[in-house]
Amino acid sequence: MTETTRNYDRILGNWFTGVDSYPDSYTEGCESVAKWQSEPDRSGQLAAFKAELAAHIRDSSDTPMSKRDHQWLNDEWLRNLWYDLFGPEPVPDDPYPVSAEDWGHPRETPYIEYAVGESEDDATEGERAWLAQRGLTHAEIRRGGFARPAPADYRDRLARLTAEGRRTPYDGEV
Amino acid sequence: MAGDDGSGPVRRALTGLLDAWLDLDRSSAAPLDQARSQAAVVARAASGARPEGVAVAEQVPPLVALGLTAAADSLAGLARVFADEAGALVALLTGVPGPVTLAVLGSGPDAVVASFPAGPGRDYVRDLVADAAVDERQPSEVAERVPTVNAIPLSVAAGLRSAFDESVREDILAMVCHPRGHAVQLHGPDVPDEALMARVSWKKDPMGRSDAKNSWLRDADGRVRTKHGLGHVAGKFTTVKSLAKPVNALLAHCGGTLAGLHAYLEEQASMGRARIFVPADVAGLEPGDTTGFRGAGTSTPEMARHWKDARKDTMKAGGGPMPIVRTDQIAEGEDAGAAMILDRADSGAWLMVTCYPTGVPDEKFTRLRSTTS
Repeated sequence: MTETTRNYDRILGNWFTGVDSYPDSYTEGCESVAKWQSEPDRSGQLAAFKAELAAHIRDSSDTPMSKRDHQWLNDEWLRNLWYDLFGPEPVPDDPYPVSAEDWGHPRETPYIEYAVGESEDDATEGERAWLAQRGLTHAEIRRGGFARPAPADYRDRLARLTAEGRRTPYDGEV
Repeated sequence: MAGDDGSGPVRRALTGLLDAWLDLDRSSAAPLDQARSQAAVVARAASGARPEGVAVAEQVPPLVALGLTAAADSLAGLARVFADEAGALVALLTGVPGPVTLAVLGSGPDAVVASFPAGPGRDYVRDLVADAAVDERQPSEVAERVPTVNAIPLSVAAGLRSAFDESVREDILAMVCHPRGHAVQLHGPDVPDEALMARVSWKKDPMGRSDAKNSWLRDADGRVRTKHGLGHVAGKFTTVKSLAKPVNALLAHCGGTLAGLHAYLEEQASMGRARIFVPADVAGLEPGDTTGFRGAGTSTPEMARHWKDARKDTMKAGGGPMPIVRTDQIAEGEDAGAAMILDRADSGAWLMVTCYPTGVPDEKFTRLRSTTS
């Protein structure tokens, strides 16, 4: 899909971007998903956000606003956000799915980077619950990169999606 | 190395190598010159002391010249080792390999930069070398001794009180100084430089909170453990007046009333949180209104990631500090302003979680438009 909706932009902007300046908002949001899903006035917004997130990952169509990163890194960031919010269920129709065993070994999402400590001993309640829902343990986590190298056919795929009108290109996207 | 394993240790090693190389480049010429002139002094002294001294004096200059040539060769060899290793590390970080062409020792920092292949490698090193001339380093044992302050200083509270219009004063004060917020304690004018340096270098919470998300511990062997959340910049407003500027701009945008403000925040928020970016010109923020520290050599998102990975690595290893550079985000940022985060409290009133200066607006924050344009 080409455009982002206001609901999508607002949830991202109010909670999940700007991780470098204020990581707590991102991690608090990740720990709030179950609560939001149980609240009638919020569950619908979140479900719509989830469906749109999947569509943008599929179509590489959420372009980084600052244009300081490549589209691929933005896509990979969104895949991390998906996992951080919704867990290991695969992104529907993801052309480049992350294999389930990569998460946490060694793929390090922002939640793992900022909220998961080195040991079980000083873990917060939210951190324990997050890890348990994903079948991860402190002992097994190996911290590596947050993104894979762009696939060989990625440039062609972007061009095709652009030609099909499913995304808007920008200078320096690859 | 966009997210591959190991960028932290690689960046740390590169930082150390460049330090040593720049130091060698800067300091190797002087001792050689000094040895040469000392030899001349020795020769003069020897020739006058005893009759045999003349013969000794004649032997000194050629011997010293031989020694100095050997020393210069061995220093150049050392520089070659630094250059080759630095080149390999830069290739790992940028993903672009290329030969390093060494200049004569003593040619200066620009020559060190120019010895890297043109393109991403040279760009990467240029940023590191430029910051190396002005960086600061705070060892973790110094960070450990930096005092923490949890309370809002009375003088700041009083200053804020007078900064807001009487009609909304109490409500806005309660919003900005809410117990769940920390704009004043983390980004207010009374936060000392050393606390900002400890925050960015070692992720030490200036408030000294002891909860699981913010507690900070330095082991006897120098390892540092904390989950305190921070990227590669820590900044503050230098005066109460500058701290109040974005708040007043937000208020003005909403018609100057609490009801207007609440209606605006309800409109912008999702799940009870609103994040607003107030551009510097809308807030009236000027150079000097903010200060802080950023990681050295962080001019691109990827370089900033490498710096953070290196900080993580040195925290875990009990190593030395990563270099940091003083910054005024309003003066230096490409699209600077203040970012604020507001939450709806259970009471329905809004509280300010935080408000901090930023050089680049966080993506998709609600951008406050000027009321006059």
